[in-house]
Order: sequence, then C-alpha cells, then structure tokens
Amino acid sequence: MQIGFSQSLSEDAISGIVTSIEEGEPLPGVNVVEKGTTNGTITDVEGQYSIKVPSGAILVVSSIGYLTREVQVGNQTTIDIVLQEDVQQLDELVVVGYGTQKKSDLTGSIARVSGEDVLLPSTANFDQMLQGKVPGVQVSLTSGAPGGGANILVRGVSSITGGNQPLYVIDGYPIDPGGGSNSDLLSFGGSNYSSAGMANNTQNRINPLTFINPADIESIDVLKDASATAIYGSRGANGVVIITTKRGSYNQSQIKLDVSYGVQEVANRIDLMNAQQYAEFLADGRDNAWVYAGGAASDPNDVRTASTRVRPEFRNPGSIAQNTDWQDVIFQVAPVQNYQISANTGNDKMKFYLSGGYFNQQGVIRTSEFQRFNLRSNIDAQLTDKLTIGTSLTGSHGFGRYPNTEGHYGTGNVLMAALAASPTIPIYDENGGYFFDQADVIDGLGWLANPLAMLEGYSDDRKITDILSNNFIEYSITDGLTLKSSLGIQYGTNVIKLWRSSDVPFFTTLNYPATAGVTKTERINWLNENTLTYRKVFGEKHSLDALVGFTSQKDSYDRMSAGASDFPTDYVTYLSAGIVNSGTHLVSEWAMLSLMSRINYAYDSKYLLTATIRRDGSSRFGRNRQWGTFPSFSVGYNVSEEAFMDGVDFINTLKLRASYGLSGNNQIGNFTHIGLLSTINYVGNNSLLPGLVPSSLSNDELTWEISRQVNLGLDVSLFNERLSLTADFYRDLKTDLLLAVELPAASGFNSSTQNIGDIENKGVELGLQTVNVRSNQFEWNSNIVFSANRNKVLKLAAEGGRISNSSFQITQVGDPISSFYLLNAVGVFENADEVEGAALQHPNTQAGDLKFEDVNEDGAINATDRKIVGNPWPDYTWGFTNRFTYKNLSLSVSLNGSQGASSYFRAGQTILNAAGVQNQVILADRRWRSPDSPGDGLVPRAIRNNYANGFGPSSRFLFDASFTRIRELNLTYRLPETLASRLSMQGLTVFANVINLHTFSDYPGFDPESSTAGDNVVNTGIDYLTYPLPRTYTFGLNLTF
Amino acid sequence: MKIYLSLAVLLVLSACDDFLNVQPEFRVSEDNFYENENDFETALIGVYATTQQLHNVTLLYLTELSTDNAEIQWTSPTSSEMEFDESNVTSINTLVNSVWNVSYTAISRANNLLTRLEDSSLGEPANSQFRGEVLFLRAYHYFNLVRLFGDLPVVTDPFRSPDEVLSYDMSRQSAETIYQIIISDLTTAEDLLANTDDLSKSRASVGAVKTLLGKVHLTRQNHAEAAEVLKEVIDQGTYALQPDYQTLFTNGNTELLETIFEIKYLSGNLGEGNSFSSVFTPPRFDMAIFPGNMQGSGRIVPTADVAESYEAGDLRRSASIEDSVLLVDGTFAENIYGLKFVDFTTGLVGDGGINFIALRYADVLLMYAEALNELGSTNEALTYLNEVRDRSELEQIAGVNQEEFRRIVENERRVEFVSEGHRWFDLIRTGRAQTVMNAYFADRGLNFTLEDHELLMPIPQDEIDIDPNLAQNIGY
Repeated sequence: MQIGFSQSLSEDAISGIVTSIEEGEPLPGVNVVEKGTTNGTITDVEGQYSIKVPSGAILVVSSIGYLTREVQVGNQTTIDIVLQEDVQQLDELVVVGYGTQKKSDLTGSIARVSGEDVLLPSTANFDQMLQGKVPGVQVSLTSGAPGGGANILVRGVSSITGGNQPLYVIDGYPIDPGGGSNSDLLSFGGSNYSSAGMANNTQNRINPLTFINPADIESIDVLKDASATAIYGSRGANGVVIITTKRGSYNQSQIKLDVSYGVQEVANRIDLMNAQQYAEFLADGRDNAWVYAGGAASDPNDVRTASTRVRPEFRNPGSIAQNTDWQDVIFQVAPVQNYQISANTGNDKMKFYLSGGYFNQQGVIRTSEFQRFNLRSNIDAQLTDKLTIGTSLTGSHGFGRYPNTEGHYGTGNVLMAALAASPTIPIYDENGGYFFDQADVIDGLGWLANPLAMLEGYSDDRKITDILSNNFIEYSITDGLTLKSSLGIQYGTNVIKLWRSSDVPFFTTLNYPATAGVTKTERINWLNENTLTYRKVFGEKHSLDALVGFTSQKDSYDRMSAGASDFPTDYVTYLSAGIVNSGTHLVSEWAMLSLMSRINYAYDSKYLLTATIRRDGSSRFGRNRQWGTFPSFSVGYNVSEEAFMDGVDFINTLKLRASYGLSGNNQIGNFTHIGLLSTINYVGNNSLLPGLVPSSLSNDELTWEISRQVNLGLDVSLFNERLSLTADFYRDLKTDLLLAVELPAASGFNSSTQNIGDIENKGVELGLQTVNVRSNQFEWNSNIVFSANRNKVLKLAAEGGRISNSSFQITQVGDPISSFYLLNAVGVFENADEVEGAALQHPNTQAGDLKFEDVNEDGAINATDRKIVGNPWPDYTWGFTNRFTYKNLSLSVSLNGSQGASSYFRAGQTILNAAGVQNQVILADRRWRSPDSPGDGLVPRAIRNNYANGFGPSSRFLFDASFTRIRELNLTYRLPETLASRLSMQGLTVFANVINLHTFSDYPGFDPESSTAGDNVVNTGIDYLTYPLPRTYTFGLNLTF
Repeated sequence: MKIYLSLAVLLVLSACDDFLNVQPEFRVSEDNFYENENDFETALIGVYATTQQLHNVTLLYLTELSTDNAEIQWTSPTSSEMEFDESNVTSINTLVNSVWNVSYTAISRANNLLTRLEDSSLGEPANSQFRGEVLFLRAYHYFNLVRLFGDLPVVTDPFRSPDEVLSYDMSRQSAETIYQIIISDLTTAEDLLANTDDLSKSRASVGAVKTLLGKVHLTRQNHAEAAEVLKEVIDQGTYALQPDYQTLFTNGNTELLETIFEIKYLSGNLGEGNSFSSVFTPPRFDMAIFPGNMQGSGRIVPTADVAESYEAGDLRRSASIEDSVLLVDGTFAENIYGLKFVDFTTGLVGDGGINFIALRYADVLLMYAEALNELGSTNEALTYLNEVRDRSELEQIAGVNQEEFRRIVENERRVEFVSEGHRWFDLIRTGRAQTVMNAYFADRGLNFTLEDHELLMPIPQDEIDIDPNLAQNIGY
C-alpha cells in the first residue's frame, strides 16, 4: 500500500524581514510564496512578512526591480532575506500601441498614470479623475451630472467640423465614443418639444465610457506625439488614451473589497439677490422703462403699460416677509455609494482577474441619479510552451435620471427657473400644493411655473448597457517571432425615455400639451487584429523589435425612435398613453481596413530609433481618397548611458528625444461624402405631404484631416530618482481640415464638407515628480503637471474667410478656433456728459446704459463693431499633488487650475440682464442707479427695455474662467500588518476624502468650466447652465484578503 | 500556383473594396431617385415646401414692417427686426439673409428638378405639367428677389460637386437680365400648363402664371402687356371675389374661389403651422383671445396709421384690424392688433393652420385698374376698382383724373392687402416709397428716413463674406 503525501503534516510559521542589499532598507510589497503552491504573503510597510509553510519548503521571494531569490526553509523560524536590485527591471514598462516598451527605450511622448494613483472615490468614470494628472492633457469637467463625463483634449483643439476626442483603446480594442456633438446639450435645450423633437433628442447624458470600471484600471497611457500615435493612423491625430485593466498574477491570490459612502452637496451656489434687493431692483427696472417711454416714475400702475407696472409691496421692500431661496428648493444633499469586489488569482499557467461593482450616485438636484453595475473577467492561459490565449470580458449596465438643466427657463430648464424666480414667491400654497399664481407670470416676476412642478413634470430616463469582449491567441513561432491574432466584439445599447408633462411651460403657453419620446440605439462593433512581432537582441548591443500587422473593423449603429403627443392625462409617461405620430429608424455603418508596421531599434540602450507606418482605408471617405498613409520617425539618445556620464553621480537618467510623424482624424459622419436627399414636408388635403430635396452635395475627394507633429522631449532624473522631470515641446500642424465650407445660397446648399483648412497647435508640457523628504517614518513627495498650448488658425476656405461656430464665436485666420466675437462693452455711461458725442448703439442712449467700443470708428455701434475679445482655451493648465506619509497615515492634497480661458455666461442674458424681471446674480446689485451712484461701472442700469443692448450678446457676459481648485484631500490610514493578520486579512485601510473642496475663481456661474456644449469642443465656453459640480465627502475602507 | 496566389490576392483586394463601400440604406441618395412620376412629384413638393418656408413670416418683415402698415410693439425686439421698423437696414440683418437664402434655395431646387425632368424619360402630360410648375416657382422667387435686391446672381443649372459650385459665375447680373429670365419662364410655363386645370390652388396654374406675369409687366411699367395678360385672367371666368372678405383670412380658407395661388399650412403640432398668430398680435401675457392664453409677440402689428386709413363703413376693417384686446379678467384693453391669418383655434406658438393667400383675384382687378389708368383709360379702370369696393360695401367712385386715381388705387390696395405683404412692393413700384414713408415718420415725430439707397435691400454680408466678388448695393 502506498501512502503518498505531498506535504508533511507539520507546518511552521516563518517570519522575517526582507531588505535590499544596496540600501539596507526594508522592502515592502515583496512577494513571499511557498514554491509550487498558492500559499503566499506580501511584506508590510516595514518589510516584515510571516508565512506558514511545512519544513523543507522553498520560499520564493520576488519583487519588481529585484532579482528573485529562493530560500530553503530549514529549522529556523526567522529568515531574513536580502534582495539585489535588478537594474534591468527597474525600468517601467509602458504600453504603446500594439505592444509594450521599456520606458528607457521610449522615443515618443507617452504619459503614464497608474490606476491606483488617479482613483477618486465616489466618482463614476475615470475621465473625471484625470484632471491635473497628465501633462499635455486638458480635462474639463463641463458638467457635474451623476455618471456624466469630462472632456479630454490632448494638445489642444484642432478640428472644427470633425471631432476632437482622443481614440480610446481598452485592452487593445479601439473604441469610437461617438463624440463630437453627441452630448451637445445646446441643440436640444430650447428648440423642439413637439413629438418629433422629443423623438430626435439623442444627446448623451451618461458617459459612453462608463462601462470601464475605474477600479479595474491598472494603468492609463496617453500617447501624445506622432511617433506614438501614428501606429493608430487615421484615428491618432487627437491623441490616444490606452487603458489597461488588471489581469491576475501567476501564483498569487488576493481578494479585494472596497466599500465607500459619501455625501454630496452643490460645490458652489450662485449668489442671488434676496427678496428686498429684488423688489428694489424690479421697481428700478420698471420705473426706468416707463420713464423711457415718456412717463414719470411717480405714475401709478393704472396709467402705465403692462410691462412697466410695479406691485405696491415692492415699493416697500422691507415689508416683504417671504424670502424663498429657490436653489435650496431644488438642490439636496445626496448620498453616493460604491461597492467593489475583485479576485485576483493564478497558478503557474493561468491567471484570472474577476471583479464586480455597484455604484450608486444620487444627484444634488432633486430627482436625479445614476446607478451602475459592472462585471469583468480577464483570463490569461498558457496552453502550451508556445501558445497563450487570453480574454478580456466586461459587461456593464447603467441607468439614470436627469433633469433639464440647460437653456432658458421658458423651455423647461429647472435650474434657470430656480435662479430666475422671484424670492418673493412662496414654495407651497395653503393646501400644500406647489404654489402658482398666474399674476406672477403676467407681472413678469421671472416666473413661468413652480420649479418643483417643472422637476416633477419632466423626466429624462437613460439606460446604457455595454458588453466588450476581446480575445486573443498568441503563438510563439520561433525564438523571438510571435504571431498574435485577436477577435473582439463590442455590443452596446442605449435607451432614452423622455417625458414632458403639461406642467412644464413652453414660455408663456400654459398647459403646453404633453409630449413624450423614446430612442433606442444598438451598436455592434467587431474588430480583428493580426500582428507578427519579432524581438531579438543581436550581439548584445543591437536590440530589435519589429512588428507587422493587419486589422479590420466594422461598426453598425441602429437607432429607432418614436414620439407621441395628444395625451389625455399626465399620469402615464409612456408613449402608450398618447398617440404616436413621429419617429424614425436608421442604420448607420462604417468599415475600416488597415496595414501597419513598426521597427524599434536600440544600440546599447543608448541610441534609439523608432519608425512606424500605417495605411488605413475607411468607408467614410470619398471614392477617390479612401486610403491614407501615416508614417512617423523618432530618435532618442540616452545620454546617461554614455561612459562619460558615469562619474556624474547626481544624474540618474538623461534622455533626449525627437520625433516627427503623420496621423489622421476621421471623426466625421459616416456618409458625408454621398449626395443625399432629405424629406421636407408640405401640406396636402389637410394632411402632411412629404417632399424630397437634395440636402448634401456629394464629394468624391473627401478625406482625413492630417496632423503633422514635431516633438522634442527631455527626460531627466536626478539625486537618486528624487527628482524626475519630463519635458516636451511640440508643434502640430493640422492640414486638410474638414470644414463645412459655406457655399453661396444660389448653390442650393448651405455648405459642403471639404478638406481645406490649416490649424496649428504648439506648446510645452512638464511633468515633475519629487521626493522632498524621505526619512524613516515620514515621506513627502510631490507631483507637478504643467501644460501650455497655443492654438492658431492658419488657413480657412477663403482668404479672410470666417466661420461662425455659434452666435458668439467665430473662427478666423490668425486667431484661435472659436474665439469670442462680440460687441466690446467698455463700461457704463456715468452721466449725460459722457453720452454726448460718444458712439452710440441707439440714438436714445442715456446715462446708465452700456458703453461699447466703436471698433471701426464710424461713430455708430452696431454688429460691425464686434471684435475678438477672448477665447475659451486656457493659456496653461496645471496640477499640483502632495502626498505626506507618516508611518501608517497618509495625507494627499491635490490642487489643479487653469489660467487664461474665457467663458461666455449665456445664462447671464437672463439672470444678469438687469431687466427688472428675473432674479439676478448679486453682481446686479452693483448696477448704475444714478450719476451719484454709478455702481461698479460694469453693470448698466436696470431697465425693462433692450434698446441700448443691455441684455443682448456682448462682452458684458464674457468672464475670465481662470480658476484654482482644491480638487482632493485624502487621509488614509493603513492598519499595521500585525493587526490586519489578526483579522485574517492581508490589509485594511480606511480613508476620509473630500473632492472639490473649493474652487477659487471670479466666474459668476456655478463653475468656470461649465459648458453646455458637452464634448462638442468647438462650442466650448458657452455656459447656458449645466448640472453643477458636487462637493463630496467620502468615508470608505478597503480590505484585502 | 502563381495563378492561385494572384487570384487569392485579387479576391482579397476586391473584397476589401467592397468591405469599404458602405451605403446609407436609410436615406435616399441622388443615385437611386428621379426615376418615375412619383419621384418627380415628390421632388416638386419639396420646392413648394421651400416656398412655404419663405412665407412663414420672414418675408413679411421686409414687405410689411418696412412700411407704414406695421410696427413693432414688443419692447425688446432683435436688432434685425428693429432695422425694418426704423428704415435702417444693414447688411448683417438676419431676416434679409434669410429671405435671400430661402429664395435661392428654392431656385436651386427648381433648377435641379428642371434639368432632371428634361433629361428624364418621363412622359406627358406629367412632364409638361411639372416643368410648368417648376418654371412658375422659379420665376416667383426671382421676382421677389429682383424687386428686393436689384441685380442678382443668375443660376440656372444644378450642381453635383463643390468644384462645380466654386467654378460657376455667381456675379450679379443686371436686373434687366433677371426680368428677361422671369418673363421667359412665365411665358413657357403658360404654354406648358395650358391643359392643366384640376390641380389644387396650392400648385401652379395658368391663372397663377398669368397673374404673376401681369404683376411683372406692371412693375416694369409695361402697362399694355400687363393689361393684356390680366384681362385674360379676368376673362378666364374661373375666379371671383369672395362675398365675405373675412373668409379669405380665417380657418377653412382653402381652395376659395378668389384664391389664385395659396400657401398651405396645417396645425396639429406637426411642424407645418405658421406664426402669423404670433407676429400680428400684442406681446401681452394677459390676453384671452387664444386657447391657453397664449401670448403674442407683437412684431408686425398694424399701425394706428393704417387703422385710421379705412373709410367709414368699410367691411374690410373688422376683418383686418381690431382696436382692443380681450383680457383674462374680462375687460378690454386698448391695443391694436392684426386679424388676418391669425388662427384663434390653437394655443400653440407657431402652429397656426390658416393658409396664406399669395395671389388672389382682387389683386388682378386692382392691377388691371392701375394698368388701365396708366394707359389713359381711367373710366374703364374705375369699373374694376369699384368692383372691389362693392365687395366691401363702399361707395362707388367716379369723376376722378389720372393722378387722383393713382392715389385712390394706392389707398385701396393698402386697405385691401394690409398684412399680406404687398405694401412695400406697391410703394416701390409706384415710386412713392420715400414720399409716403418720410411723411409717416415726420407725422410721428420720429427721426428716421427712407434714403435713396434704401429702396433696395442690402446684399447679405454673409454672402459677400463667402464670395467677396459679389458687389454690395450702393450706400450699404
């Protein structure tokens, strides 16, 4: 009889300290594993470990950057281990397109951030977390909606008609987030609440990248220069953001549990007038308007016109008791919860990473919320010595409800309604219902309906589901030659359900009939990639890494929508309760084929060379220009590897890099090059009669926008890596810009999209990391990020041509894209003498009215006096993070800011217009009242008449959007190893965190970055109100088993 | 072996090209349209729809608000609107831009359709009928444009690529050239539509063509030709004056006997309504004249001046103008507003369902009278003038000379066609614009003037920005 035990029955606890041979310092985070098993542990902060193994076992001690050691366990219970640095491995691996590269070999400009470093608690999506963390990448938080996204702009804006979004690559799968005008809320807020309009509202409110669970992210690499992005060819011109998710580790097991609970409030409320100030203001505005029309301020109401009457109680503001804070009424303190669990395990041949999470964010505006479930499984398996397979599978389902927070309150913007409503109106009536008195509408008290009724009467429910599966098989043909083939598929659906009851006013039309709309979209995208890689080191000094590949990708987008009206009641908010009388169904597709190749060569790790080329064919482009070629070339010089640098001790690494290459931007519609017809309706016998007319001009020459970029870079680290600096200088020339070239009306088309413009972006990026203090118990390190970019249009369709991006912005040669083009308000006429002889906007301009600059000096102020008064792009953005660690306690403070951008406070044309109708931002209290009381010289007098362009577009509403923000304060306590193991855990940390503590800015709106245009970056900088940013206080804990 | 390899490569390459050839299946493209009669009719409807857009108020700013017929009551109009009220139009006026744009869009769609009809194998009678209708529409729009702007770019061909547009000569041709095109189009249309008489009045017809031709001749002071063609319309016998004037302007004014060419609208929140209810009525929150107490916008409201220019007992007044408005609280407030085409049955802004009558029989009669008077036959002219006055139960007029008759017919046209977009064209045609307008301003103590160069609208600045070679009208 054979008794075979593979393990002896007696186990001993072995403990000890692992230190480094060079420094003698204890090493935390070192793996100590019983060889051949999954029994392992990790050294704690003090380098100590403790593990139970049978005698005679072998401990495998390993850590990145150190040579692995194996130690046989004998009779001792304490084994101290000394590890030797593996200089080769100390080199970080950076993810580049279609592969990885050692940081020391890199010749392109790539910024890497680790997932753990950027992770912000209580935040739904990773893009919101990147602000101030990556040099060269401007992240703007344009809206604070739960589950919403941020705008990411790499090295400036460079496309006017095409999109400006970077390409996102998730575990090797390029995703087209469908940006551009997809989340531009300007196009809905205000126009069409008919059933057809409701059926056509397709903006995104939920971030399309929400299926990427931030907790799953291992690292984010941003490819910025052409050498790095050219491998992505026609999609690389706006930069590439590569996201790598966590994968298991061989021979290790770990279960992680993260739980956090937070409380949010609106970070910054707008200071409005109170009831007394409002009453005085309203009386002022009405009296002035009546006097202007020929009356006297003392005239009673019955001789005045309706629009100039003043309620008797407003003559005595002190007597008004009611002082409603309408922001208080629609805002609330809202909880946010996040639960994440992940398991990370593996043996010799396979590794798994499985995770699941639930995120629940209630919104700071009542009735809004966002919830999301995520699941992921990443599996890698070595089938044989030569064959590896792997899969990355993720699924997510999110849903949310959003209020209408953009536009005028006449179209249902509940945020504007709360700001504009008179504080003299009570919230509830005597029966407990929402207060409403038609007299308040008639008397013009900034009131159309009770904001609570508007909140309740409008619902915007969204659902988003995504499944992404990318699977690869890798075969090692011979030594160094590998074939990798992958097949992936992305499937996503999106549902938008809109309802607008008759309680939500349409300007002064009471009981505007209820309408509803539903849109369902389904997207299927598949990708096949095949690459052949060859890696070899010749003669010790020549290192070669070559790649050749072929990919194909196809996308199919199916959208169906329907709209209904004629609802007999407002009880049921579904189409079924009304009559469906509008809708559409469409299928839009694109296809792409690509060939690519890259060679990386390094001589003695000193002289580096990279050359790439990619050839892309896309269905989006005209018959004659369907294929494009994108080459790039870069060199690097590791000066620190030279022999003559050996003596220079304080310099650890010094590298110079230079690159030049081409990449493209293909973000235009799928069928822009085809001459299409559109329906236009007419009327027949009491019914609709559809007609068809040409709506786009075909263009066989339509092709990519091409970006030619030069980049010079410097990487240096000094004083034993205590100071590391990365600096990049770049110039990007974008040609063949896709522009909607305006055509003369006589052609029958407004415009046709052609490749015709040139734009330049140039700038500098700096990333500095310092270890300021490093002692036994205390460490302080800093991370500074700085980016400055200048944008200039070099050429447009016509000599001296000009494009109107919006009513307030133009693009013209010599200035940045979308510069603000407005009448320049230079002050207020303080008295009648100043008005005499000045250039006037109206013959009857008086003291107290705005004074404008007469740009063309023709003695009159009109639209020809508009000029460029600013632009929405910052001169520079920066981020400054400090981390202080004392024993087990760690405090981190992150600041970030932006300087030089302007923002047009479009909402100001309603709540800063000094008309004497809507409630106003407190700034309006500093208005001109009389020559003796001229106010701040910026706000004109209150008058309910726009003859002097008091509330029309002008630079009066353009503000400096520079800011400094205390983005995050985080205090973390890590339970000592001994205590943790007593609870049978590997680790336990608790943290307290504040996000958006304070933003220092002179901007009068909710946030200086607030922009109604979403990711339609070209219309950025127009603030017609959006969901305000929250300030969040979070407590949480992380447990590791 | 080599063959197989090349075959494989060829197969892959052709598959590649196919793979990249993605067509929008959910849209009609120009390659698979314009095949049969239905296609052409649908395209023709598109041109009518474009014409409908022009009339949904914008044109009235240029033809009514610019005159003593209408003024703004709203306290905060846009600068573009104010420019018409104050006779101070600039080249960046958005309404002028809009009229130019929509009119030329219609013309270009007409050109496209005409070329395709001529190239097609569509048979008779559809081919002639459609061509006739298209030519009428093209002439209609060119006529508006030439009267408003003077010299114009002439485009008579369709475009198939941006290069074709950029290489086309879009410089301004003389007004005379335009008129020749208009007259030629209308004469051809007359023949083509000779046998078509059963279409809706929202479509072209021989009567419409001749009426428009008459108006063209009259504008060019060719009174003999004008009289001749207008008499043909009268003799056709298919039109007669509505006994009740008001029926022309209220709900149900479809296919009326007096209508020669109408623009149809439809309410029901389908996007096919008009905004006349909004622009002609006062900007008050407290009116009770519409369902849901819908507010007016007070943009093109009849003036006190026109309200006072009716003779006593003129039945037309109560159908055109109201002096006081009913308020929510049951009282009346003194406030003039317009009634024509105002749809009191709908409380949705922009959803008015009353049709706009662009050409009607009363116009033919008054134009004929004007032409006859200019030819010296004042007495014969009086017959036709009095026919129109009869309908409004006004006294017949007799024993006036040519000059007096001119004043009378001018005033008659004013009260007959108030709010219908005739006033500006009438004043320009008779050379009376400056006299009338400057007297009107002086009367009201307003220091605005209609200058010489302001008898033509400015070419939109946007168009000049696109094509700097386009010359601007003098004075702008």
